[in-house]
Amino acid sequence: MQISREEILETIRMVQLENLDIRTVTLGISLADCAGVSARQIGKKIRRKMLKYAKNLVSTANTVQDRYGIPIVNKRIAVSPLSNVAENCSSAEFVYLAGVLDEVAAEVGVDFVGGFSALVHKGYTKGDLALMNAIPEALARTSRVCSSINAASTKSGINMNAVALLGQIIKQAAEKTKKHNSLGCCKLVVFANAPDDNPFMAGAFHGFGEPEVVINTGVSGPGVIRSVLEKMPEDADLGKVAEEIKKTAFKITRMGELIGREVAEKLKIEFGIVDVSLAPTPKPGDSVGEILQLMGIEKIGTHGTTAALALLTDAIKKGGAFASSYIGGLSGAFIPVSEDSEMISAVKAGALSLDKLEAMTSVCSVGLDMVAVPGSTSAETISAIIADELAIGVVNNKTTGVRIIPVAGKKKGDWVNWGGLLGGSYILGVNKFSSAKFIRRKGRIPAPIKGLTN
Amino acid sequence: MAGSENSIILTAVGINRVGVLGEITGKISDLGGNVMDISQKMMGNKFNLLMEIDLSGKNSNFAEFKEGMEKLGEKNGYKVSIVREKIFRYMHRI
Repeated sequence: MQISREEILETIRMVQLENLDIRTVTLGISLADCAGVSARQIGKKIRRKMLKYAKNLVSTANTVQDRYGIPIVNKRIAVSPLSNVAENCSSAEFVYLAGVLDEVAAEVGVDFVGGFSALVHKGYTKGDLALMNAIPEALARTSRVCSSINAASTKSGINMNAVALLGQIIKQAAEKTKKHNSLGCCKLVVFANAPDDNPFMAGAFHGFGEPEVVINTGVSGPGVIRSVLEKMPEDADLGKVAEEIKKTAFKITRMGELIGREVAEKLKIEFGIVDVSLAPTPKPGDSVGEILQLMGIEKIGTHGTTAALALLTDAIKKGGAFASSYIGGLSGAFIPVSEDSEMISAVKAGALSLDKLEAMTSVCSVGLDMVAVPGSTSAETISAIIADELAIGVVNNKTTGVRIIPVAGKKKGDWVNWGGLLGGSYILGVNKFSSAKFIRRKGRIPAPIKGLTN
Repeated sequence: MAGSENSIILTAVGINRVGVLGEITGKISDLGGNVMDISQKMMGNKFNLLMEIDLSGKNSNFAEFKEGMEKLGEKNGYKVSIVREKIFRYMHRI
């Protein structure tokens, strides 16, 4: 055999015991040619186009999964930011179009469709504003539609008008879905420097500059990295730890590229990128927090956590970049609180606060993700939390995002559960002092000097 | 033939008994597979079998082969898994 027995067994162990999987195969579809004179006409065009390309997505992914024995957990669709496709629509019409996306997603069997989105980092058009105002209702009425708003970029600064509005929108979304623990907010991300080719939800959309259709894959595997670290001596130095993580990231990225290319080839669709991101799930052993603890952090959130996370994120990126020339999306480590058993336990133990989490996001690949705060948190405070997070992204020339859930009727320390991949969390406390005057100033925070690179 | 597009890796794990290897190889040939390499290790009373099989014969079909072999394992009390060899090459070789 060309491949040794040990190598074969290593791969099989990764899949069967350590939860290695393709987290998502995401089909990006441009809706640029779906503009029309009425919402009904736009809806018809969207439906036709999505069905044309996505009808065989799930069955093809399942065939490839069987061939290689690697589970493809989620199949998803990302479409062009809808605000630009339906620029003339009213908010009510955008809610109707969200319904169309939801129906088609159900019909083709994907679990999420992303792209109920607008890029407003410098300002909004009529359509952008109508879409943003439609978000609470759209997320309450649909189950598979995900929304994202890019409200800041290193090149243009932070659109504080949008940030102020988004605080209110998030509050409304929470209120409209209060029966389900404000679930609507779990499907909305606010970004700085949003990537055009991110395959992960809730932030996936088919960006401008992308081809007509494209297949992007997201690979994950916190369990695999954990197991590698478990096998290392406890006193191995951090250079060696980084080296092992890098090698493992290489292997999982290669697998992701092979599977992604094969799905793309079978669907006769161009292959885009592999996003190698350690994305935890609530499943035991599938935690990013656990990896940091293996490095020697007693509880996530204590001193040293940010440094450990920085090492992890960087080693993953390096391994991934060597394994595939087309690394993209977010690539790094995700730290969604409610989806990671060790993060949840750290919140419960009082080790992890919102402030420490914010510090951690300056070195991870996403941002404040799946963070539950008290339902009484004001819209201005939510806007201010968003502004802080976007500032980290803008100044450091990286993507940051906020997925925050002010859970209606819940207070600090309460438990809330959304089930499935979204998991559950204890409610984190927010600072009791006001940021309202700052948020009400609005305007645009200018681009940092770092943005002036031309 | 090693490493070709039609190369697959079969692994089987279960309690050892007389005739188990014959049973597996017999089924492989029924389903049109050609054994290219084989290695077996014992761990206590358990066998741990690894095989490389070529499926380029005209009577062989990957989906049928996979289903047939997995069912054989289920029926006789051992776990069989079938995966394309390409995945290992991709992960472990530059």
